[in-house]
Amino acid sequence: MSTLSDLMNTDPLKLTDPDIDEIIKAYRDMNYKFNLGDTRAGKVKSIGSSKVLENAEADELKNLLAGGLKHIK
Amino acid sequence: MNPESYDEDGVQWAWDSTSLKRADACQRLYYYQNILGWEPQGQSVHLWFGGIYASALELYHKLVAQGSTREEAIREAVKSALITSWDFEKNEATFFDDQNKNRDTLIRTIIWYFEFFKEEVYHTYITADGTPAVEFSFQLPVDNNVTFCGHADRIVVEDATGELFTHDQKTTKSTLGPYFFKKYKPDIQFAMYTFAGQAIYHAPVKGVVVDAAQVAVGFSRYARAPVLFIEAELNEWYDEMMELIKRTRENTRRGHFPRTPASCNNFGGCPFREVCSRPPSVRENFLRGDFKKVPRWDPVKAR
Repeated sequence: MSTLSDLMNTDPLKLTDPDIDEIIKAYRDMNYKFNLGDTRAGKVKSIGSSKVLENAEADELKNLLAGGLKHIK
Repeated sequence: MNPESYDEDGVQWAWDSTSLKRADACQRLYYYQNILGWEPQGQSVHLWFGGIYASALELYHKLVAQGSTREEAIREAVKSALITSWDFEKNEATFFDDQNKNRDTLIRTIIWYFEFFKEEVYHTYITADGTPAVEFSFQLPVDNNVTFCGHADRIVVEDATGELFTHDQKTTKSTLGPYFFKKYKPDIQFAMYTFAGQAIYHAPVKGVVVDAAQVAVGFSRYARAPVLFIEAELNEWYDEMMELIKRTRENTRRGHFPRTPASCNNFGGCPFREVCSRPPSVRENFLRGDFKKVPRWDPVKAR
């Protein structure tokens, strides 16, 4: 069986679908091991952006939803 | 209309965010890169890495929208990245002397992205005629014989709210946190994506959802956040871009492109800083010695 290094150093046009799947599996295994050892893993899926909207007026949001951009031909 | 982005007098009429950012940062930078076509020797690892990464993810979304299974689409995305990052002349993997951004970390970052965002909360927007809004390339005529050009990955719908966003990918070596996303407001590119998305799809696109990937030596980490723009902000951005384009066009007609020293040290330093630091009489020599000539930047063809 080819190692990941062998596959990564092969002309990609000569790789078969099973070869690609082997590469994917190898990196997924690395990801799994990394997540096991990383206390932060999985805890940062999204960063809240509520502060971005803190100065927006409700009416302006309504206008946005209703469209009304100027200058469009 | 001239198929290139410049008229017969060399004045630019088609503007993408890259052109606007250059003109905004420094008129001389714009002159050297857009008008004259000077580029630093060698290839930027950041552009190389980011370009292949974004293309792989875009391919994935396109295939899923066309009916491929998730695993089929991932396989094709990875295969595409492997091919694009291979040097067929030398019959070896493209090499960059960068411990963070190289072919190994590129493929890892792509595959780990799909693991991290396995539970997707945004899906590709389907237009009224049933077309998935992927490979979102636009040419949007606006005022003053200006056309805005650009290319975004896709328009997405947030499952929980039904709100629309443009979707974009960024890679960085830096640790991700709220500060990373704050730098995108104000931002020329994201404002343009939002503006164009609303105009072209006649839909209330609220901003850009950014998927950020930190690429470290031994791991990749991810974060996602929306960058929002309200109508007043987009109109302000529009007016500022019209003024910037007007000023740049006037400078082009006059052949006069003043430098902005305050920008020389931004983003790791302007590539032309050494040129501008020399007396005017010898700058051409330094350009010829340290840079390569490429066709001038053409937003109409940029993708």
